[in-house]
Amino acid sequence: MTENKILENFKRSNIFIPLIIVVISCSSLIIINYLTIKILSASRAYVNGESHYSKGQKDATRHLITYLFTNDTSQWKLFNHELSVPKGDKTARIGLVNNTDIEIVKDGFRAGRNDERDLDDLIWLFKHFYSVSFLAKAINEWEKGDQLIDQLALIGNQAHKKISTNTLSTDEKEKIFQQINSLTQNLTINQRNFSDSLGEGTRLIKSYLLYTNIFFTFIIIGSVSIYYSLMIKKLRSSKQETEDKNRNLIIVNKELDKFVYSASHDLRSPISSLKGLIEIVKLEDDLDEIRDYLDLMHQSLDKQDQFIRDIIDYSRNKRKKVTTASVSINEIIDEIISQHFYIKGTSEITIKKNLSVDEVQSDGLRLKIILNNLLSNAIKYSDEKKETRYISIKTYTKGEFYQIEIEDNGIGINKEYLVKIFEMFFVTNNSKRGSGLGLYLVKEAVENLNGNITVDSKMNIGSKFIVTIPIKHEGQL
Amino acid sequence: MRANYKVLIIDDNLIDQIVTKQLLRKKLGITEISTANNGKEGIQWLTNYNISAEESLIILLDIKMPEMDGFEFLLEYEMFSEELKKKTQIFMLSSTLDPNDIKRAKNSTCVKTLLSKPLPIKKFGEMIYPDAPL
Repeated sequence: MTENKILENFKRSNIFIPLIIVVISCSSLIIINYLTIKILSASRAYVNGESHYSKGQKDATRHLITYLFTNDTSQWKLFNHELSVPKGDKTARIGLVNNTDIEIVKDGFRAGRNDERDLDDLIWLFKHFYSVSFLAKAINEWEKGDQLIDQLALIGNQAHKKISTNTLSTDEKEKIFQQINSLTQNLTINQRNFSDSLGEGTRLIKSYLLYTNIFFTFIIIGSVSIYYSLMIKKLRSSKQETEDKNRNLIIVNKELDKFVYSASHDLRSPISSLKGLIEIVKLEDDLDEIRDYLDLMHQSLDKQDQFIRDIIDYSRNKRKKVTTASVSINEIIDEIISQHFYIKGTSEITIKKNLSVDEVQSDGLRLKIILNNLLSNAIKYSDEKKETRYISIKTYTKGEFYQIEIEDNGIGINKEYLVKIFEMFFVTNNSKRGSGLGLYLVKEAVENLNGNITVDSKMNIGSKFIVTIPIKHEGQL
Repeated sequence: MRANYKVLIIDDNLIDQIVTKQLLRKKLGITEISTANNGKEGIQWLTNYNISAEESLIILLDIKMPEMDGFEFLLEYEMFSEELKKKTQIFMLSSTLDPNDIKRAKNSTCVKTLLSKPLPIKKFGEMIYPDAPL
C-alpha cells in the first residue's frame, strides 16, 4: 500500500522534473542574457569614454604645440581645458581602485565627457569585473596612459612657466616638441591597446553568450519534448484504462443479465413445481399418494432454500473484501459435516481426515464456501451401489502453498464435463439437479484467495478436488 | 369424437414430470404418456417411435435442460420426416421469464405456443380439444 503511494509520488514528480528544468533554464537564460547585455553595454561605454579621452588628449596636445609656437595664452587655456577630460577619467579610475565616494567617481567620469546614462554601467563593470583578464588588461593600459598624461601636463606646465617669463629658447622649444610627439605616440599605443582589449573581451563574451543560448535552448526543447511525451504516454495509458474498464463493464453487465434471468428461473421453478403439486394434491384422494406429494413439496422447498443460500454466498463472495484471520480447517469441516447429517445416507459415509495443516491465516468465509460446496457435493453424489462409501480430506503444505485434497468414491464426473463444471449455472443430467452455482462459487472463492483448484475424476470410480492456496496471503504483506 | 393423443414430456425436473403426468391423467384422461429427461433423450425416443395412422403426438418441451436444451431439441426435430411432424404438436412448457426465450419460442414455426409452468390444464385442454371442451 505505502509502496504504491511512494511509486505514485515518484511517477508524479517524474512529470514535474522536465517542467522544473524548463523553468530553471528559462530563468538562467534571462539572467545570463541580462548580465551579458549589461556587460556589453558597459564595454561600449568604456570604448566611448576612451574616444573622448583620446580626443581630449589629442586636442590638448595640438593646443600645447600651438601655444609653444605662438605663445597665445588662449591656447594654453584650451590645453588645460582639453586635458581635463583624460584627467577626469583618471580621477574616476583612482576613485574606483581606492573605493572612494561614488559621487567623486561619477564627477570624474562626467569630466571625461561620458554620458550621464552610462555612469552606472561604467562603475558596475569596473567593480565586478576588475580582475577579469580583458578588463584588467584594459585598466592597466589606462593607468599607463594616465601616467603619460601626467607627464604631458608636467611638460605643459614647464613650457608655460618659461613662456610666461620669456625664457624659452628655440632649442628648448624643439626639445619640448620632440617630447610631446613621443608622448603622443606612446599614448596612441596605450589607447589602441585599451580599445583592443575591450573589443577582444566583448567578442569573447558574445561567443560565450551564443553558446549558452544554444545550450539552454536545447535543454528547454529537450525538457519540453520529454514532458510532452510523458503526457502523451499518460493520456494513452489512461485511455487504455478507460477502455479496459468499459470492456469489463460490458462483460459484467452481460453476466449480470444472464445471472438475473437464470436466477429468476431457478427461483421460480420450485414455486411452479409447488403450484403443480398443490394442483394434483387437490385431485388426489389416496392419503399415501398425498404424503408422497408432500415429500416432493419438501424437496422443492429444500432446493429453493439451497439456491437462495448459494445466491447469498455468491453475493458475499463478490462484494465482501477478503479479510484474514486465524481459522481452523478442522473446525470448519466438522461444522459442515454436522450440518449435512440430515441428508439421507450421510451417516453411512466414512469420513477420513488427515490434516497436517489446520490453523491457517486466511479468509474464513471463503474457506467455508470452498469446503462446504466440495463436501456437500461429495455427500450428494456418493455412489449408493458401493458397499463402503468414503470421503477423504487431506491437508498438507507444498512449498509456499498449502493444499486441501477432497477425494471420494462417488459416482464421478463424465470426462467431457470436467472443463465445464466450474462455469456458472452449468448442470449435468442427473437426478439431483443442483443450482449450477456451487462449483462456480468454489472457483471464485479460491481465486479470491489467490489460489487455484484442479479436479480429477472417473465415472463410477470417484472424484478428487485439489485446492492450492498460498500460505502467505497478499493482504498480510 | 375426441382425438387420440399420445404425450411426450421432455423435462429434467422429476417433480414437474410427475405433476404434468398426473394433471394430464386426471384432468384430461390421457394415459399414454412418456417422459424424457432432456432434449437428447427426447430425440432418441422420437427416433425409436413409429407413429401409427390414427394417433397424434403432443410434445411438452421444457427449455432449460442439461446436455440438450429445448431450442437445441427443436433444431434436431426439424430433421424428422414430414409425416411425423404433421401429426405432432409441440408446446413449450417452462417457468422462464427471459424475454429472449419467449421471443425464440414465439418465432419457432413448429412450436404451437409457450405455456408457463405448472401446465395450465384448462387452457391446454381447450387447445387440443377445440371441438369438445371439458
